[in-house]
Amino acid sequence: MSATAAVVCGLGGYLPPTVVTNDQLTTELDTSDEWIRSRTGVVTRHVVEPGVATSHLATEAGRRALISADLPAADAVVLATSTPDRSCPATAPEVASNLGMAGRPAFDVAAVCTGFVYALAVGTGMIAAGLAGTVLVVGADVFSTILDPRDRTTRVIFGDGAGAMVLRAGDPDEPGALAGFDLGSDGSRAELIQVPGGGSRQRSALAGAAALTSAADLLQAGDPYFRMAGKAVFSEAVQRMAESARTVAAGVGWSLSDVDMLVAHQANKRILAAVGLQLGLRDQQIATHLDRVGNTVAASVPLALADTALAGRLAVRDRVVLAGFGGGLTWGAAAMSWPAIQPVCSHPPQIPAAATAAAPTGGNPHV
Amino acid sequence: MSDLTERLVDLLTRQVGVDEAGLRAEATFDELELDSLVLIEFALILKKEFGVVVEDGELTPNLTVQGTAKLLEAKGVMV
Repeated sequence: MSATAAVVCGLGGYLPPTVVTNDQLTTELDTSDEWIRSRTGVVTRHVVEPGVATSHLATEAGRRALISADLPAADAVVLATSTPDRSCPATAPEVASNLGMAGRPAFDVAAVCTGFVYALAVGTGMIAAGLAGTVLVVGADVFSTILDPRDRTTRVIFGDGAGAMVLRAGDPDEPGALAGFDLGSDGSRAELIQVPGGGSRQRSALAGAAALTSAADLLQAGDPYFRMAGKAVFSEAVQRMAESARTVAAGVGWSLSDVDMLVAHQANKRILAAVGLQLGLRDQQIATHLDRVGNTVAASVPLALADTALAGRLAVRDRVVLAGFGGGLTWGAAAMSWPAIQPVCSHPPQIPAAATAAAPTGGNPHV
Repeated sequence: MSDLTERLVDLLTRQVGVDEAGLRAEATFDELELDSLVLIEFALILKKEFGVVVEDGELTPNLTVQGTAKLLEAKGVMV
């Protein structure tokens, strides 16, 4: 391919400091630590303090990605989120301004848990088209703000967080180059993952109803909470992520046994295991981060990638497949080789002393 | 035990992780303590192994391994 490639040159992650354990949730929900661990694999998740929103997390992750890239700024900001600060305007312009990048193009990409892979594809396209020499791609969500506190099927799974990558123009053969993408959607199953109320569909439907006397009436008329049809989503997520990962690997000439690491959206440990089984991957080839941070939606893939790298599990030029699946429905995968970068995260993994002593040679140095 | 039932037992022990000792072909999924997520995972394994589509809800908790073999045979799976 003679087109300019997008090369990953920085990676950052940010988690809000407040941690919620399974035991804390059991005081409010009819569930148990054992049930949550066995059904989802989540042990702890991070949640924002009142007043903190997506733009704040996105700014912190973006800042760290730029430090990782040793760059003061990027030419554009693409922010994947489905919990924007406001439904209008997009959150990306404010994030760009926060990072001293006012004036550059900045916009949001909405694809729920596939958001980051979609945003990477957009950033890659901007570089290939010569619209930007560098792009800051961020995935950030604060699902704690849209969960029904009484719904144990969703409240135990999701966590807040943000991850970001810096892409720069480069050669397809460089370590860090994004070599291929596979993206898809199926809008016929849009109702499986949704926040039903708060949008134009609700407002338009109510426009013909009896006169509403206040904004409070309007809000009450639509379900403001995130709803997910768990079993149907489980099955779709496994099949779509496995197929997309398989397609993208084949597209860049990798067999599945060539893949050093699959960094899939951290929806549920059972989904990760089932995807691994479908693709014939060993446990060591599958990144796992959700035990500590839950499902962080658009932040999930970059946070899991950063965590895996900081744990010393990636060597330069390692073949990495990123995969996502989310509301829309949407899905996507990307193939990249791991570059010689040091991720910068607010919560790096705690590496036990014994493990660092046995760290693989040729891997990235630990922070 | 039919050949297909034997293949299913093999899949359940090797890929789903069911204890071989307690696995009888007449045991229900409920008796084998397979929760609803495991049944979805098993349906995906059956799709990969036999190329057959098992819809959500077809593998019920009171279905047995033998019953699953019959279900697959009815869908045209032959061993």
